[in-house]
Amino acid sequence: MKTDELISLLTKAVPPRPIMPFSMLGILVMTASLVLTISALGLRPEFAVGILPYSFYFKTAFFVVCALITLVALRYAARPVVTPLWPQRAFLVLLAGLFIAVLYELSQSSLETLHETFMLNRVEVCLLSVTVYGALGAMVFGFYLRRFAPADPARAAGWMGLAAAVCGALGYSVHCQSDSALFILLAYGGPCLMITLMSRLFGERFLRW
Amino acid sequence: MKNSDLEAELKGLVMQTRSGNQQSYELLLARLTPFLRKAAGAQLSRFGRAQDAEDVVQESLIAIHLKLHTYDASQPFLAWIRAVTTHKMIDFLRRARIRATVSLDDENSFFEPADPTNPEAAIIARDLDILLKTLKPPAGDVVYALKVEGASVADVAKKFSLSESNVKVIVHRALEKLSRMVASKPEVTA
Repeated sequence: MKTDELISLLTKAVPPRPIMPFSMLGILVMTASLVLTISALGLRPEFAVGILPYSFYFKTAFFVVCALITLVALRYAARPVVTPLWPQRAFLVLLAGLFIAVLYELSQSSLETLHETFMLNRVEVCLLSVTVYGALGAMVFGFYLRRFAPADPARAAGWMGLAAAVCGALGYSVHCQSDSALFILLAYGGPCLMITLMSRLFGERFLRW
Repeated sequence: MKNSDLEAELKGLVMQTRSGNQQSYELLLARLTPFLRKAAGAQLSRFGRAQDAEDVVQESLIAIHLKLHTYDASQPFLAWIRAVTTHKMIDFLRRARIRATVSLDDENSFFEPADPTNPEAAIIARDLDILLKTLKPPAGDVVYALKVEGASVADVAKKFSLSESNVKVIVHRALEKLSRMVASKPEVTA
């Protein structure tokens, strides 16, 4: 086909545009995980009383800020030009804050208390739920991201996995009764890290354009 | 036509295209085609594949059609076009199983000053600026002064209050880091 013929063909319609912004997709994934969590596991008991501890709000705020940063990073990573580094740095600052909270908690709590935190709050349910939500969310994000043109598909796939996992974790957190920083780091952070690495490893080829 | 005029014209056509104007879109693609053809021809001739330039042009046009929504209107449009074309070029070379490398021996060619009469000068300068900002200060400024502005090691050392040996070490490490960044694309390291 000659290039002029191709131009005539392409200009028969204006270029396609994506249906929704990444933030909306994040909200959808979070809502889906929230609905699944409430249906299968229910809300944490404090919701029935209407009095939630401050730690729950801190945990929720942490996940909301994480989700916002990762979705912004994903939006930049989905473009073919060089991306700014501030979302990556902001995320690292947030992680550093979490590590400081963990160190403080370790200095204040006994081993017994920490053990109870993990045993009483069914850490295996948390690990499984966040992993499943993250994996499903990453697939949804992945199919949507194929409409875009990431400069570095591997990097975009990594952000895609992390954003999906964090949005899924946010939905699950309404059931989880533990607001401990160490619990967040291990029980939520572990699956999020795994989904991120898997997405980066296997998502790169899927996102090539 | 000056680079800034071309940028303004193309950006205007993109905005009209986004409003649904098909004629502007046709004009945009027609104005871009010679630009793409020249860039593809120049790059592919380095690998002895100049005859495949038209294929790369057509793939770039299809990519522009499908991915135009990823262009951020606050950024230069020509930089976006260059990124898309480069990506398609790398794809083509990967499919043709061509490995391309650049010699690190000739460090001076790594940062060849942009030709002001070259329409891509603004884009090259912008990309260079972004690359140098990834270096820990004052490495970016030292490299720019030494390699782009052509200052002597002694002048740079005096300007940044460093010893001459320190300047050489900083430049060497910076160029190594930048080379690793550039080489991070799997098949093409040019």
